[in-house]
Amino acid sequence: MGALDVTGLTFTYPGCEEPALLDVRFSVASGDFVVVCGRSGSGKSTLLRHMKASLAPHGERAGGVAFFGTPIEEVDDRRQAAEIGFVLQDPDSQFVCDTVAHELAFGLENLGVPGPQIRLRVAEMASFFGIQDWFDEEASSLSGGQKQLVNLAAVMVLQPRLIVLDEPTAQLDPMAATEFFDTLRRINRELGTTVVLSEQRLEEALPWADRVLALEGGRVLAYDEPRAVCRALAAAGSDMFQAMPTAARVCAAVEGASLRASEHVPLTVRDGRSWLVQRQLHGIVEVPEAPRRSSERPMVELREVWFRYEKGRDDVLRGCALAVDRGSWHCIVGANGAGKSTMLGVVAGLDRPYRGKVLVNGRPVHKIPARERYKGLLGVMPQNPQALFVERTVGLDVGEMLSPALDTTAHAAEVRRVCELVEIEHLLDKHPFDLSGGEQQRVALAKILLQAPRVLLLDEPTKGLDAPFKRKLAQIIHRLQDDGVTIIMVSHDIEFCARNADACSLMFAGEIVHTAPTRSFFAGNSFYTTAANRMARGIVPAAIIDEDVIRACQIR
Amino acid sequence: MRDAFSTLHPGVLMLYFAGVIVASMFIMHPVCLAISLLSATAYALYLGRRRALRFVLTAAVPMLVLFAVLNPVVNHAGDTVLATVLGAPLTLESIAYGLAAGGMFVSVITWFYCCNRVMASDAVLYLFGGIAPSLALLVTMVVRLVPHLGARAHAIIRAQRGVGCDVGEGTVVERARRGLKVISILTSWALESSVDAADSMRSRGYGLPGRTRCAAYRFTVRDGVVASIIAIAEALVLAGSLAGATAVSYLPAIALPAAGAPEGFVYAVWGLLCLLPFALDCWEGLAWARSMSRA
Repeated sequence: MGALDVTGLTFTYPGCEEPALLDVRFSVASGDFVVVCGRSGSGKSTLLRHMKASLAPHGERAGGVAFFGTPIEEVDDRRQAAEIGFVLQDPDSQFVCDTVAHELAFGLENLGVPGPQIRLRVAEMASFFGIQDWFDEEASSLSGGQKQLVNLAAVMVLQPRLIVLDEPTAQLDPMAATEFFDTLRRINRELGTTVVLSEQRLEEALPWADRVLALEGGRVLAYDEPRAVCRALAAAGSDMFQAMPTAARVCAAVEGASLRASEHVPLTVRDGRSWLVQRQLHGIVEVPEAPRRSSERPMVELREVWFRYEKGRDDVLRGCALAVDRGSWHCIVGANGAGKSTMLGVVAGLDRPYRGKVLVNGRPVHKIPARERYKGLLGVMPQNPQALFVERTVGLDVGEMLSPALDTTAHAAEVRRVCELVEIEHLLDKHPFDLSGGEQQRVALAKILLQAPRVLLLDEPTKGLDAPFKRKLAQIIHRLQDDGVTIIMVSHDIEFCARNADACSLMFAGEIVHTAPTRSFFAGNSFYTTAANRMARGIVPAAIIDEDVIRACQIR
Repeated sequence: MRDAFSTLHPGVLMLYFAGVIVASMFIMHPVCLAISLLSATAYALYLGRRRALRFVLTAAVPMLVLFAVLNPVVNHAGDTVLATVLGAPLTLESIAYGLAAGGMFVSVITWFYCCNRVMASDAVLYLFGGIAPSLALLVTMVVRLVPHLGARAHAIIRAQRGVGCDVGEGTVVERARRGLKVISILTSWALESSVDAADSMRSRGYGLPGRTRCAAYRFTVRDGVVASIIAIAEALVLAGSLAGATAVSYLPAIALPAAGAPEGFVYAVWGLLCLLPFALDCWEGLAWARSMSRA
């Protein structure tokens, strides 16, 4: 008897032909750390929700889930609330009370724990999480990462035996995600709580999992310890293998079929390095520098831009200077609060700097009339695509962007062209809010592309997307680039930038401190760089993505 | 800033403010009114500094003046005619009554201002949450929701501006249409996240019978001592008032009670009560200084 026994679970949503889960069976031992991976739509959330009866979806079900030997439907509500903790993706909407203190007490109050004991358990948990400094803060003043830690703490005060987390770091930046994972690992190691975590950031989560469950189309593809799952996915040629850690991907590509036999698949940067050293590459392999696109006049230029939101507050941009080449894909990376999104707002003309100049196509952006600025010149993609959705269906919603003056056939043709470009033709009858994150992203992009912008401004477009969706987004953006669109993208996703951008800039404390073509940018950084670069540092210079390392290994 | 008084148990604070506010409302004796008005203003300034000064200058003082001017204009009762303005008598008594009524009104408002500064929403919730726990939870949730929705509305307006739909531009019809659009997006967004909120609440046992409340405040010996002082002072003032020490009439002629020793004692107690927050702060400040010098 394990903490969780899933036996032949098959589940079909009402009105669907295809089952969302098909004959899923696995068992989680008490104290295990299990990572559930799979593409979005593979049934991860559906499976996780079956681990708590009060959250289980309605539909046709066969087989079942047992919690410490008891069928989950028979575990009474009080015990489920206390012993099975559930953390959802959105840090904001699951935070129900006004302050951290109230939020932590919420669950214990529901369970009818006496007051003095609540104080003790809340105090204990706040100390364990190291959140006593912002214990009295209001929810609205916390960052996303802080909120998500409170959400986890608010579940942990109930002293659960099992915690289930559904992509808890999808909305967080990498630093906050790492902190969240560290806390989770401590909970598992020091308190012995069983953890079931579904995740897209496998680079970090996978190496220290006890078991990995790979789901594809509602079926279990593999359930084993991480290295064995890597081997199984590589052998099956599953596209999910693209989501495995860089070291494992490189190793699989180089060793090919012999990976199945090899005992040791590297999962971390450290293991990847020692694996690379053992291969004894002959000489040093130079990776050629990609040619840089050149142009006479930059498409977007910032000259000594200073900006602050309110009179008494600190400057957010402090002499920010940047030039973006016409037709290039330019990424801005940097820590939270460095001013990246603010800079994007200034370029978009949504905020006006009090000193300095912002030129788009050689003209000061605030002198361009709004009608012209947003219809045909700048396309501004909000961080949350939902901020653009108005209509009942995707088809109506996309069409809403065009002026009614256009005649219907031209209108329809234009909508069709854009929908094909971003590959959403099959979604036109769905409600925008029913789509997955990656699909919503593309619908929002379609709406913006209908205005035919020449500069596209993207704020964290890969947030919460799985690896195949990211690749699709990259393809779409490259297509736009071929049509001459200039792209400025703010992102925390270093791997995505390294793989796709033409040039990158590092922003720090309101200033652009370094701009360079992508390859030299990442090859020169030692910390703010890709896993492939860290793995091959000093062995394969200038390698920034796994393909570079693979190519270097194959030269004999 | 938190002064010593505001660190007391909310129940004690409630006892204090309820007593002082009710007494200020009913006692119209000029001496008591002056004490109440001056202490309330001083305490407000002490608590709020510059923002309180703005409140006093822009709300309290004009209101006092307004009462003092308005009453003689509409009320012509009173024996002592000072002058005849536009055929109507201007009487000393009606001016005095206007001032007294204004003083009463302003002191009550200023006490409320102080009460609001001293008792956080948390403390109020704590007091009334005992009567209706579900109501208390509802209030915390609303307090949480308001800034949350505000931030979302801001994000939506910005996103719409970025696609050329500025709510603040265009014809009236266009603006109205764009405003409606923002509201519609905000509604679907809020509904979407309310599903998550409900899941999160249910998964932590919301709705199970026998909900308790975590008391964030403890009633200490210090609270007990201060509460007894307040209770005794309030009882003395009440007794004095019932005995007629503060009975006063302004119209048609001003009639004050005799100014003897018992009356003086009641005024002194009232003064002590009104200045209690200051007294406590000074006392604890001294105690702290003494503890430091001894260490």
